[in-house]
Amino acid sequence: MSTAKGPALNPSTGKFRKRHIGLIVYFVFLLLPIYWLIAMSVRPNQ
Amino acid sequence: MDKRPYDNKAWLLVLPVFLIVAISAIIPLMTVVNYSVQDVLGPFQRVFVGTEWFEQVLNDGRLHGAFLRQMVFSGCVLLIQIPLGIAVALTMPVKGWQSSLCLVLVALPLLIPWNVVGTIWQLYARPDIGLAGVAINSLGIPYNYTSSAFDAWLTVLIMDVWHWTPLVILLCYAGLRSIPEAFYQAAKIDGASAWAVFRYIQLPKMRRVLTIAILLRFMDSFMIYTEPFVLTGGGPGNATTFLSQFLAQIAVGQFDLGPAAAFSLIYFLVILLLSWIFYTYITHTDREDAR
Repeated sequence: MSTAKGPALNPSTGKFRKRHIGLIVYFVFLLLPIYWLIAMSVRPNQ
Repeated sequence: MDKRPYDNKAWLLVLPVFLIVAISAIIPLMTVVNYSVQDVLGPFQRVFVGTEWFEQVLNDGRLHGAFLRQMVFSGCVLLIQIPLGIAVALTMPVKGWQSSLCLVLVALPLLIPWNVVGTIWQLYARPDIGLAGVAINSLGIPYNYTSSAFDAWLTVLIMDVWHWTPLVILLCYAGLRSIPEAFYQAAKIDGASAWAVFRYIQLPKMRRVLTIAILLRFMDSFMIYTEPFVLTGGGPGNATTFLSQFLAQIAVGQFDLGPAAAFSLIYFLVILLLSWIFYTYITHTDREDAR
């Protein structure tokens, strides 16, 4: 069921909106340090 | 008059809780109170000094500096984490596997031990090998958290935002999920804009969880110790020496038990007072709005 126009918890899934870019940027900020640390920890010495 | 039978034996059931609280909280607290008014010269040699340690601590310039840094830090933490937490919670999907995935990803930093968070950021922000440090320097911005006080302070702040904004997000998300669908339908019928829905439906409904989020984040950030200790060790200079680290320096580094005890009590009372002011202000505005 759709909700009022524009509320954030609008369950009209599937559509890519501008605000999702912000969410993706936040997830990059969140996950990059963890990914980088794991990647560094499994890299063999050269 | 109430004629229901009253059995005093019921107090026996509460006794274990009283004992546990007494052993785990009150006795250590009273020990600190005891130390704060005595000069401990040896195991059995103690001199009563009254308020001397309190006066000494309150006139210490290092404490003033640490307190100022702490207040600015906690203020910045609230100013960044609360709006960011609300914004991310508003953007997160509400149904399907995307919702579950987002919740798991958001919760990840909360599952990492505090000293590991410090270690991650210590490596990640290093200007020579760290991804973030090298990236910032390659953009032509001089960045080195080991030598620049501002960079160190900023790194601690960003690390705290990284570590604790997820808590605010999860609280806000729970608050948003509790709003009945009927509110959104009514707003749609009234032709409310997205901003109006946020201002008059979502924000008021999130007020209680936001109160908890603000209180938790304020108290936690005011007591921050492990992450800056691992990341910068309080340096360079005293740039990231916050109150808890200053306390640890006095108590464990210099082993000045009297001043450390006095400072602990002041620290405890400051947190209690500021939290009470926050709580009273927020619940007062809550009541005003309810009228």
